Amino acid sequence: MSFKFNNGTFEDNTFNEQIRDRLTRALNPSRFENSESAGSQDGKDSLKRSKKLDILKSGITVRQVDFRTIPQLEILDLDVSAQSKSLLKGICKISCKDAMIQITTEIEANLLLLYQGVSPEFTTPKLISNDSFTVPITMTFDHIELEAISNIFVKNTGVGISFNDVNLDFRFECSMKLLQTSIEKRLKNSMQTIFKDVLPSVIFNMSQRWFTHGPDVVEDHSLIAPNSSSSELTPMTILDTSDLQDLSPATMLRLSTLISSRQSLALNPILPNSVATIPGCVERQNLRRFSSRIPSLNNHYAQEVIKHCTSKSMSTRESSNSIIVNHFASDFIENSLPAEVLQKGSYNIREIANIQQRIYERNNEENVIRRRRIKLGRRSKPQKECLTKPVTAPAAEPISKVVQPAPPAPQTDIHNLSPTTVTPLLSPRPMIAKSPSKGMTPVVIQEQAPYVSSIATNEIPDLRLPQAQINKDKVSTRLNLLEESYFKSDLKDLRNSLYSPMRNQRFYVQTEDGPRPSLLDAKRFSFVGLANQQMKWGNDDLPPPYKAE
Amino acid sequence: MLDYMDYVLRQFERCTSWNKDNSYENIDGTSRNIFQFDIPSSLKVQVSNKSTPYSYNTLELTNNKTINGSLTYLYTNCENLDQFIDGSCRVRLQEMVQSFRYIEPYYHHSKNTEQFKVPKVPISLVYGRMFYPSSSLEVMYVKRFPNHYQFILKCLSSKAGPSILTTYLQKNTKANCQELIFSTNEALLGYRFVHNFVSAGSKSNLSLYNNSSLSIGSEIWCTLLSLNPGCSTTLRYCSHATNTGKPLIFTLSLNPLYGHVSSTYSIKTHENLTFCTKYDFNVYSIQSNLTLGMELWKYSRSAAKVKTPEHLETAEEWPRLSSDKTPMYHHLLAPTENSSHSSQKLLKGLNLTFQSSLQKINKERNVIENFNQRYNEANFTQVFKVSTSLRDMNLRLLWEGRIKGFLVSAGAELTQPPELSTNGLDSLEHQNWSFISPSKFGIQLQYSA
Repeated sequence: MSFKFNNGTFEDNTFNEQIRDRLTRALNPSRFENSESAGSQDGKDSLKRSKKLDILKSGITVRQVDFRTIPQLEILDLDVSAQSKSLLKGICKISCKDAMIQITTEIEANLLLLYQGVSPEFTTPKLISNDSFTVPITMTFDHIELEAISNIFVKNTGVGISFNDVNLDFRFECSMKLLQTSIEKRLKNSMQTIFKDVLPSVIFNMSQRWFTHGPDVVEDHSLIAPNSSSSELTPMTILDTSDLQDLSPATMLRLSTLISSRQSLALNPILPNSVATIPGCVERQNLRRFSSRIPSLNNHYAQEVIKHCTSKSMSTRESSNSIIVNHFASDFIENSLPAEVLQKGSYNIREIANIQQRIYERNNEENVIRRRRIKLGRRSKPQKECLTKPVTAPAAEPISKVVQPAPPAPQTDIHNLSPTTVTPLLSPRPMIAKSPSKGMTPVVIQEQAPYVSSIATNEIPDLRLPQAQINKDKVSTRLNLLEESYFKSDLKDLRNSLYSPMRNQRFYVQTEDGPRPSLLDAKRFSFVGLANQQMKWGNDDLPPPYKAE
Repeated sequence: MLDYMDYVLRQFERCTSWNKDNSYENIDGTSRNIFQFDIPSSLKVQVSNKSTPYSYNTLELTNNKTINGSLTYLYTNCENLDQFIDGSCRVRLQEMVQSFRYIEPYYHHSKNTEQFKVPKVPISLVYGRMFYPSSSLEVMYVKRFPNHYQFILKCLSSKAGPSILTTYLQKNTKANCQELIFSTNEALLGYRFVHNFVSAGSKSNLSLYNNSSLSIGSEIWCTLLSLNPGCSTTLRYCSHATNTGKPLIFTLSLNPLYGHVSSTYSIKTHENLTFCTKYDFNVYSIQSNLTLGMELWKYSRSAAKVKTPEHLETAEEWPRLSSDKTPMYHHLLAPTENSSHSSQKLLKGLNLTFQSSLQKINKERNVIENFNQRYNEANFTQVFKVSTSLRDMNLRLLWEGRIKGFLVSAGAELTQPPELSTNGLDSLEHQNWSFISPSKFGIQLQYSA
């Protein structure tokens, strides 16, 4: 589920106007459809009679709606795909302050006349001079303060909302002082049922139509009907399908991308530089990257090794890189120096100390620090310390192992840009991507043609992107080509707009408009769930679900 | 047009000397008949007959999308009722059509209806009507007591709604009429009364023949269940134009609870033409309404011309005549009128002294009575009614008449179409095509033997 709050809609008056129109339309269902189901204020009395007493003489007009402050929606908890069937579960807090609504209507004060109208003529005595007496009535709801905590469930079949903790406060003023207290009492009583029954059922019914887009009108009435018979208040469908058209296609697109990214079996991650799209979570495909960031000597020096290797020989760089990362960034993270580093002595004691301290800080309980004395200037001591650890030996081995059989296999991989080999390159520090482009590219391009027959590891050329592209965007050269081939530059925009509103577990209002039109041009994105044929996605009319390409 | 059973009931009341116009319910009967006449809303066919002198029945079929019907039976133990009930071929249209109610002062009323005596024994009437297929039942029981009381019980039992029982207890002396009403629907309780004043001759009143009547009435209602009150007061004045003898009725109603004031003025300018205006005004909301209505009667061509008025009585015949008739200057006499002998003497003396004025009285009376006579004896064949109201923006049309023994009434109501939107701007646009749609129209056929 995605939300987008536009400041703009609240800043100018159009929002209030829109609410006013909607309310007017919702409050006068009978005037537009049929006169039978007219909402009358005295529901109790009307139940006793065969026909309803309708004391309303005219339609209800909403004179004024004024939301002085922007209603705030705060997402307290969001759980995407909590179960297999529900897509989203969330808790949010809705708050709205200092709003004002004024409605006007005309009521019939002469109740005997109404009584005469609905009673059978035969048994009703005639009354003289019993004409109608209409009284205009104005009700003003001032200082409306609403604070509610609601649970939202989005399932494949519909949206369920329950209001848990509703604080509604308003000042009520009626032009007829005589009725003010009684109306106020009734309103307060009915508020509970509105938030408990009416609103959730309305939203659910609406969303059900939206999700299944079945026969909308007929089915919905039958769904609402049992509710109306049991409760006094007849729930009215306030939201129409026309309301849903306001949902921007770009929002839906983002939503669908999010969902499809979760459900696809693709091994390539969606985001190049981040571990998780949702804060506090780690996605399975990003686990390796995540673990590669956990402070440890392995992780740190793996990069050193890569740098060293690439600077030394370009051909081994690729393979060793993948191997090293595969090894070191495995699920179990070992805290040890690679043998190569040790041999070369390219480590820095201060760095090691830093890393160790970070580990200690991260994990206070498990790590028991043993005090050690390290005498500076003595070379044998750190070497001995490293050699005692069992990992150092195997750490050296794979390099030599894999370097030899490396031949065409990694190459084809590289050509196809299989995700396993590429992922390590996308590690957070982009120095790897930079360093080859600086020095080595000219050589590589020259050697690119005759790579086929060469078996020696040294002669295996590295895959290079064309120079132009490298110069254009140095960081993104290592992006997944497959992805890039059809997302192109839009991808970045999409990601920016997709993930930027979520910061620090809070939902922030996004002001600028996303790059909607460019995204929609002749692209088909797969998306899930919100399948409504009335909304057209892209240029073709095909219905949305799972148009995987 | 009255239904057959209503007609029977009307005749029953006449037979039992029950003055319906004396009830507060009908205090504005004339204006209601001219403005708010019933318009049939579907095709309705009614066949009625008088099976025995004591029992009557009706079969009715209505076609309003679906075909509905009703069966009505009426039984009464009133003697001679059958003599006053005619079939649709012979009945006078004036009796069947609800029209101008000519109110006579109560002391004259008894004179004109002297053939009907207050019954010596209680007389009752039972009426039952069964509707199908809606299977509801209407029952009415009327009992006329030898003294001034009448009791009415109406009951409606239907599947759709709750059963309703309404009772009326009415006491109708000549000068007063009081009613106590209770209905189980919402526990409605009401009391209403009418008082007729004996109008005193005033100095400004030049006409000695006083045929005017002044009545005041009032009603109080309250539904006990929901405590909805209602009340109203009405003043009614009926008289005749002095020169032409045309009857006129003026009423003024006031509903103090809702500040409603309405005045009506009805005049029968000709025996076949009636005009009525009504002005409503609300004191609180300053809303007003003007309603106009008229009805036009038509004679049959074949019918004989109305007889020319009888020749004016000569002065010689005066004493005899005036002693024959009940005193029309009732209001001038002392209450001790039973001493007939002395009054006769007095009259003779008076006649001698005020011969010229008595002649004048006679002339006036003749004018009035001739007018009424012409109206009553005319052989009307059709009547056309129109009424319109400014605030409601409607036009109501009704034609009633007799075609080959069938009593036909056809009518339509044209109203402004209901506003489609609550928006003020839109409703202004729609006002242009008003008066297009008939909201109600229908035709009703009646045949009775």
